[in-house]
Amino acid sequence: MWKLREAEDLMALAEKAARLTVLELDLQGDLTFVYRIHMPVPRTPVNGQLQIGREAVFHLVYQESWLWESPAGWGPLGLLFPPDPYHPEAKPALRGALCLGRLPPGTRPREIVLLGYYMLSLQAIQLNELDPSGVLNMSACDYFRAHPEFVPLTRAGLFEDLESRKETS
Amino acid sequence: MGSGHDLGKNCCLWQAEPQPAGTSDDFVPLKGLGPAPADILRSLVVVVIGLGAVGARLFVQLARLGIGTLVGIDPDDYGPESWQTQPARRWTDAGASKARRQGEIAHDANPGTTVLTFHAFAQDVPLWVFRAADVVVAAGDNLELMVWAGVSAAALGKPLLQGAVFGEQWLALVRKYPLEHPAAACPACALGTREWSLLRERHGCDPQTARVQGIEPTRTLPPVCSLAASLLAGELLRAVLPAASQGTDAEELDYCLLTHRIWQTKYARNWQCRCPHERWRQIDVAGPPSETTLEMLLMDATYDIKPRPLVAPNGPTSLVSPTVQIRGETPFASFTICSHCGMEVAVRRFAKVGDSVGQCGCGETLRAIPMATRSVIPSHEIRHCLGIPLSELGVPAGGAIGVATEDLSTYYFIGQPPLVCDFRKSRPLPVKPAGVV
Repeated sequence: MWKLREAEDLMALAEKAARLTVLELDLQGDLTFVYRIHMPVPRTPVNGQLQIGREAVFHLVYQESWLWESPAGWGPLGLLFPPDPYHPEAKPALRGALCLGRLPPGTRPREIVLLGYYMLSLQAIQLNELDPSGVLNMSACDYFRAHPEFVPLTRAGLFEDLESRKETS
Repeated sequence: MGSGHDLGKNCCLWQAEPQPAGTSDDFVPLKGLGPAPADILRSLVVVVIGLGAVGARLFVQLARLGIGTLVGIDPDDYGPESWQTQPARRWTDAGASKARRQGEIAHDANPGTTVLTFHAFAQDVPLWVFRAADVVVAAGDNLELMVWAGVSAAALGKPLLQGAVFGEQWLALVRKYPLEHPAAACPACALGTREWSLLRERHGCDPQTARVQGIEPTRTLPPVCSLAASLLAGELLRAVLPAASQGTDAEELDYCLLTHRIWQTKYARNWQCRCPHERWRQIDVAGPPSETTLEMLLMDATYDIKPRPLVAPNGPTSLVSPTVQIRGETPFASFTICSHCGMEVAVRRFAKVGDSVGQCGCGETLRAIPMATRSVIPSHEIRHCLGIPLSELGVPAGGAIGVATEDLSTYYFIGQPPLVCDFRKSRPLPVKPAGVV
């Protein structure tokens, strides 16, 4: 029952967010939600210049036990595309893992979608290498500390049009 | 000092030793325990989670009471300041494993007790250990651990006790959750929004150390910790001895050493509790994992739980139904991606994130990755795993496989676990009928 409720919630979110496209929603086993968001994405720098992608494909998996247990920050959300995210909370060695930090039990999938968007667009990032819950890529920490002009990549919220916030992207 | 057998994987065992020949029976009946308590206590298996200021004191008390098998679990090592509050030696014990040290102390106090210790998080200890327990005791106030222990104790039908302290108030408390009764409250039943939000505190980002150990040392006065341990030992005796009064309500008893006030509270079951309060059907499978397959387990599940053929979407009668969920004690990794060459490799085995799951063609060690691990076997993968021996799917001897349908979860314990366990309930699996996929 909880999966049906969360699936309805996710579909309602997708209807509200014009830039979000649902690619897969699977309720067998763990709840699995694959979606694409048209958004700026930090990718591995070339010659010191940050590459910025135009879209990201997220992969959200939600286990029933996370209703009462705290998931690891990297547990629920991964990135299927691009393959080379350059982000303090994305670990290159564990492809696609995105760390959302400390999540309380019962954090709803809808909230994880929003957290993932704000994290990847650099609106909410953790640059403290000493924090045991947050940083997966030290070199990206250094990079964004030295290049604050990229933080954030956009100020547009998930429900807003990117063009409406173009002055900052 | 008795030396334990190091069994690897941070596990250490001290076998019960027979009484030396020529010595008289030195086990005198203690007052107030009723008739023949020694036999009852000798037959018990008690699991103590947390061997710190409260748990360590309890552990040795239980050994002196003559509990037959003691299992102690603690992931921590002693810090330089631990000796002030915990039964550890100054200087020489700093850096030592709490589990190993307390195992030595308990077995030294009573060599007639079998002592097994795990230097690990309770959530990572094999399920058969908890299944073998008659009582599970959690010593500490780690909420996340208590919620997990409550879910597990309810699933296995074990009574759960908790002992904890509040240092500032000189308060020792003990809680009893009689989860062998399906309608009893669990530790999560009384949690409010604030407590749930606190549960996020103990996770790190490195998959190898996902559970972050406590960094704040216990600073509660030793007498308060000793009192909590004694209250806990008393509650355990009340739970296991037939002479003691038994109730089916969860209860809390608080004693304040500053004011000598006592509070006693009953906990009602919260029917809106987030935890499942689910009792598993438990079945022992006599054959080892190398001779058992998922197909054999599914046949048992389908015929015993839902006596009707299950029809797969593509037509033929099948054991695989979208409503059947299969899980192990660790997550299931469908595939992984080589961190060196980027090749996607099918894995299909139970493994924790970061565990080695084979070797890539390029020579790099393959590791389970978060994106490809699930708490249950994805339905499209079940078909591929049906005929594979469970040992090849990463299930160790004594390991558990859960098969859940809409209304019932069955856990199969596969083969003889490497250590203490009771297999009196073993029964063979049904014979596979011809023609079943």
